[in-house]
Parts: sequence; structure tokens; C-alpha cells
Amino acid sequence: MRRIVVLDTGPLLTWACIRLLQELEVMIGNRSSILAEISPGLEWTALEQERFSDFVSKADQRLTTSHVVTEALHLRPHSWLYGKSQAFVSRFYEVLHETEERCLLFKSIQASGFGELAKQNGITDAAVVCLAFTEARGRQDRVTLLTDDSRLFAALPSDPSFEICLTKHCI
Amino acid sequence: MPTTFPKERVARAWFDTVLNPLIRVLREESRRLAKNDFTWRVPGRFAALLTIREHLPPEAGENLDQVLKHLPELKAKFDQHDQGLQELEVRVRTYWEKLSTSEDLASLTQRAVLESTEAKGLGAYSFGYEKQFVAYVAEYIVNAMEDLPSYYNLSVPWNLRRKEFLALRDSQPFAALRARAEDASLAFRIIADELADMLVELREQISMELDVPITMA
Repeated sequence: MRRIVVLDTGPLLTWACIRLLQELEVMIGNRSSILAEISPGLEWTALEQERFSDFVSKADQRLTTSHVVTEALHLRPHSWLYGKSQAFVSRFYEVLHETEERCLLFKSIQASGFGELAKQNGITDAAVVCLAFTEARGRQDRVTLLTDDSRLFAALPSDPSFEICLTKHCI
Repeated sequence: MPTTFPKERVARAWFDTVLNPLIRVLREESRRLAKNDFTWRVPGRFAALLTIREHLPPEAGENLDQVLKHLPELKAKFDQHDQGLQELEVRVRTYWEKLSTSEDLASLTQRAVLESTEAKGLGAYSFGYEKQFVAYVAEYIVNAMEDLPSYYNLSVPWNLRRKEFLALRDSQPFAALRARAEDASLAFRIIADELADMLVELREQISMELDVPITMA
């Protein structure tokens, strides 16, 4: 059985950021607060960083949407990443190279029944959920939608074809 | 209520990192439970009911400790919330596990799935009945789900047979387990409401005393 991870904005940013931190050899102690800027509410010790990287990089396939990519590149002004935006963008493109990006148009999201979710949670959430459902449908692969968004997590009942997982649950 | 007040900057931090977020999540916990939505999820956890500390990001933990140090009367209420949550989790888990392993629910699920497959052809649902589905249907029953959106794999069987699935809640042994879960839910809601009211009152007093706005938009 193949393992497929669908990445929402927070996890995609976190993955690229961990790459950059490794490359810049930022001290382990400082990495935690930098990663917490992306995913508030998580404690990023060395162990958690390793578990997260393994969870994402060892998947057989990584997927995301163009909405997520666009949202991820809106770096928060005054954040550490914003200060390193040039170096960060190269690492970001590197992880995108290892991730399959799908472009879902609103009309197709709506036609697949996700229009209501788009109204409630916004088009980025609806597109990434639509991708996870579509990818899981009729396949025996294990599909995980990885998100930091507890509001999205709470809004979706479970479905047997895939799991929605908060980052804190996978580290 | 406070006999000594913090200074303005500390009050701002308390509002932004502890009091305002907690009031919001406590109201949300109460709102969901009022609709009998336990936010229970396979493989067995609440999605939106958490302990007081889990509701806050770790970086707010030290501000929470400071609030508790200066307002120790809150601690008992926070502990009551967390103990109520623990009790609720035990009871909801027992209820869900009993449903998940029920022969009656398994056979009703299997019938509904096969019937939906025949009625709808392939559609969204295309891979036959699997034993694991029962745990998912049990989740929907526990959370008193309305119709599922069409993209859910179990939407056709659930939406077609929802009334029958939900009626299982009123038969034994589930009715007794449900009643126990709902009793714990009511007790927990009362605590969440009281705690939210208490925090609103506290926030109001601090805000007026120090002339610090409740939120900074």
C-alpha cells in the first residue's frame, strides 16, 4: 500500500523551512521558535523536526494545490522567514519539485460538491480537502491530509477512505 | 475576583493570549455540545474539546501560569473543566466502542452499503462493504450527524438510512450509554459556561480598572 500525503499550507511551509534551517545550520535551540512562527501551538524539538521530516519526505507521493502554494508564499512581514525570503523561496521551490501540485478551479471544486465547504472555510481549504477526497476515492492507498488548521480539522467528520491529521498528531 | 490588578502591558498579554482565546473556545465547546456534537473522531479522540492548556499555544503557557498565580481561584475551575472533559471522554469512548462492535450496527451498515451500491451504481461509493465502516458510522451516530456531504464515501448509505442509524441510540444497551454520555456532557457544558462567564467578568473588571481595551482590532 502506497502512502500519500496531501499538504496544507502550514505543513508545506514547515517542510521547506526545516530544509532551510538545516542548510543554514541554524542552532537546534533557535529552530524551535522559528518553526513556531509557522505553526503556533507546537513545540519543535529536534525529535519533532525529525519525525515531521520523515513523515513527509518518506511518503510515496506528496500532493498539494496551487491555492496552498500561493498562500504559503505570502510570508508574514517581520517573521524570521520574511527576513530570509530569498533563500527561503529557493528551498520552497525545491520542496515543490518533490511535490505534485494540482490546480483545482473553483468550478470543479463546486461541481465535486465542495461549494459549501468553500463558503464556510474558504477556497484554499475546500480545494485541499477536495484533492484529498478525490485522490483517496476508489484507491487502496493510504491518503493523509496534513494540516495545522484545527478549525478545518474540527469541521470534517471522519471518512474511511483517508485520514485528516493535525501536524501535532503526526509528530 | 482580583484583589490586586496587573499593570497595563501585562493585562494586554493576559487578554490576548489567555482570556480572549479561552472565552472563545469555551463558548464553542458549549455551543457544540448543546447540539449533541461531541466532535468525536475515529480512531478515538475529540476534535474540538480539549483541556484548558491544550486550547492555548505552548508560548501562552507562561502567561497562563501567571494568571493562575495571581488569580488562584481560577485554578479550581480550570481543574473542574479538565476533570469534566476526562469524564466525558471516558463515557463517549465507551458509547462509541459499544456501537463500533455492535452486531446490529454492523448488519445495518452492511445492508445500507450494499443497498446504496445497487441503487447508485458506482458513484462516490465504489469499493463494497468493509468491516471498518462500522466505526465511522458509530462516529456519525455519536455526534448526531445531519446528512453527510455527497463527497463522503458513506454519504449515500448514511443519508438514506440516517433515521434508522440514529434510532439505534434509543435501543439498549446504547440508550443507557448515551444517557451517561449526555449527563457528562451537560455537566461539562455547565462548567464551560460558568467558566466563560467568570472569565468575561474578570476581563471586564480588569479592562475598566486599567482602561485597557478588551481587544485591539
